[in-house]
Amino acid sequence: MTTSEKFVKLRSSDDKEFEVPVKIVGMSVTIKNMLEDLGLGDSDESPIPLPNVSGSILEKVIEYCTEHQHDDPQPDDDLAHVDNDEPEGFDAEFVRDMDQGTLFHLILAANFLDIKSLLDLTCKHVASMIKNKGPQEIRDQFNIRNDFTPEEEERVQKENDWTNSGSNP
Amino acid sequence: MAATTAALGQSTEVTSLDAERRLYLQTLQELQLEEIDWSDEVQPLEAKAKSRARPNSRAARRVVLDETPERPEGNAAYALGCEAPRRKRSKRSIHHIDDADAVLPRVDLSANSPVTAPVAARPGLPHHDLNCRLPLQPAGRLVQRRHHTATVPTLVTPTLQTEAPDLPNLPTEEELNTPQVFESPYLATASKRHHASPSALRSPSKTSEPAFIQLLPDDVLCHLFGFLSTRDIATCRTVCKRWEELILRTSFARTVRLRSTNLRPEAVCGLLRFDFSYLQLNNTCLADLTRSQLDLISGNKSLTRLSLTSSILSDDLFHLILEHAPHLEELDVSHCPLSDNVLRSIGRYCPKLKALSLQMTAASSGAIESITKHCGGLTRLNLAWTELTSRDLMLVAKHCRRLRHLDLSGLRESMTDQCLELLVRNCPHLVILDLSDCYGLTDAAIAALADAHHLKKIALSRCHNITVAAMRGLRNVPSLTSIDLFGCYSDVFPHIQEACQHLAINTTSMNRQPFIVMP
Repeated sequence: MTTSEKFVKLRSSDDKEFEVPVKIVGMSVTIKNMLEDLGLGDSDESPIPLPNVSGSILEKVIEYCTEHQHDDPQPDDDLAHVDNDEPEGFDAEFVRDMDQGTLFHLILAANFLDIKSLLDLTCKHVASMIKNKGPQEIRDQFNIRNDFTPEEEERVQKENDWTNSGSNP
Repeated sequence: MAATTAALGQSTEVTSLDAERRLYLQTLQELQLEEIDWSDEVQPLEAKAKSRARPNSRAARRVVLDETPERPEGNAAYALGCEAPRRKRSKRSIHHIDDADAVLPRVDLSANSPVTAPVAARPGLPHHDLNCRLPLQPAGRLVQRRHHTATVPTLVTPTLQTEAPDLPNLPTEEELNTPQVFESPYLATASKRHHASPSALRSPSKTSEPAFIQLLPDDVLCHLFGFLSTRDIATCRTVCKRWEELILRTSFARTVRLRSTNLRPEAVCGLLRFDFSYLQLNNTCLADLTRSQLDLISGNKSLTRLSLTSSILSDDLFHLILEHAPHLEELDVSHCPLSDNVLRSIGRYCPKLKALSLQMTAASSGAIESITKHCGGLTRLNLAWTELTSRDLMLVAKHCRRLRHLDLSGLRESMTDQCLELLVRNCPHLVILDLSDCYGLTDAAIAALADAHHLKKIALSRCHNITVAAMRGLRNVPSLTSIDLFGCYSDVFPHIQEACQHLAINTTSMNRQPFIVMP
């Protein structure tokens, strides 16, 4: 255990440095591949730059990975996400009341760092914010500008007419 | 880059939707040819601009329509993929005026723009800033906004620090604080319909936040949509153009279930433009599409299961659906008023079919020839109550050798002992066989069944030309576990049961599973 407890330095886009155990940082496929490609660096080596991830977001990522470091790796199944389990415990707390700026930058970071479970957690949270809402409610929720012309919107709504009949789970 | 810009530049001339679509597809192709390296998150700015230069031919058109010649440089900016600022027309969008100028340092706006290229112009910043919608507001307000500085300091702060002089084109502080009145009646109804509070739409504190969700790259947004239900996905399509395009070109492993409904042409068109894997339309009346709607249905869909039981649709529409569904594995057109002519195309278009139900259709020799020729992989086939001849059934027995589940009920005289013998010989995997109402079968059929080694379940209801004595011979079918025998005289069963004590003889209950089970 003592030999495997190596640390890696990460540097965020705003030049903040984080020293993180390899095991935790290894949850990111991107960083794992980097380390494997470069050969596992000692902690005194220069930090890995992460120009896409700010310090505050990286802090969140590390918090998540620290909590989940002992999880079994998820099966890489694209259909697996059809089950819409509500997140529980830490995960639920983690995304609850998170402001949208943090949430979406966290999604971007999870995508860039390739941490599937974090990506799924955050995406599911956004999906839950979309669920059962009308288009205008969704626009309001995320400040999306409606760039349809009235004619286009009418067409789109007519084309969506089938959703009003039958059951569409 | 130049090519892309030029192509989009022309779009100021484009007015028809079709032409625009074509242009969009063409642009997409161009972009793919240029091999943008998506894996590289820190893309050079040019590639970034290109990567966003997708659908905005419409935006470019708007510039012309809106007649804003005072900002001709905007054309280039829109063509490069930024959202079009609707400074004049749409008051609603004031809070979302996109920082088109700011993210495009190539366009010289220095004289006009207060927020001079603050974000993307800085090298090394992540590419998702490109799409960041920073509200153009007087500098004083920007600096006061707590949210940005508190939560995403690295990404947005540079804008906030920019010293911005007053800009005549921009809304003043007063305007921003004045409640906006929607001019368009459609907007008013839209917000009413969805119970959106009008104050929420106006409130500067709420609306001045950027649309963070639009920072997500396409693939992530699609991943996110994947967590939604069919209905929610359909709603998301109507939110904005980017979402619509994304959703229409994404495959979703989702089921659409419609029953007993009338779909107008627009709805049929809309439904078919989605790419859902499973469609179940029972007792549904689907209207024909107009020429222009037909053109909107494009590309191959990932549709794998399609049930049209008792639905009414024209040959042309069915043909269109088949044409775009090369991956179809399970198809149920039972009770559909389709002609043999169009049923023939099933074989041609759906070579991957594993399950097919033609029950109560006009399928005849033509359809069977085509299907047996192309669909050798069929494992489940339902030809019940069709007008097929013995020769057609022989063809099935000859070519569909992987059949496990075969329903030939109601084939009356066509189903003969010879057909059954050939079937048992050629299709060794048969597990379930329905031969109800096949008067053509005689005692010889029971003898033939003894060679069906995997047969577990058989239905012989109302096969009146098979004698009770012969039925007792079913005990010789090695794997058989149950028999359906409806409509026989009740005093017959004890005789059969006596001989076949290990078999469950089902005489009353109709326990029919749907032919296609949708997830």
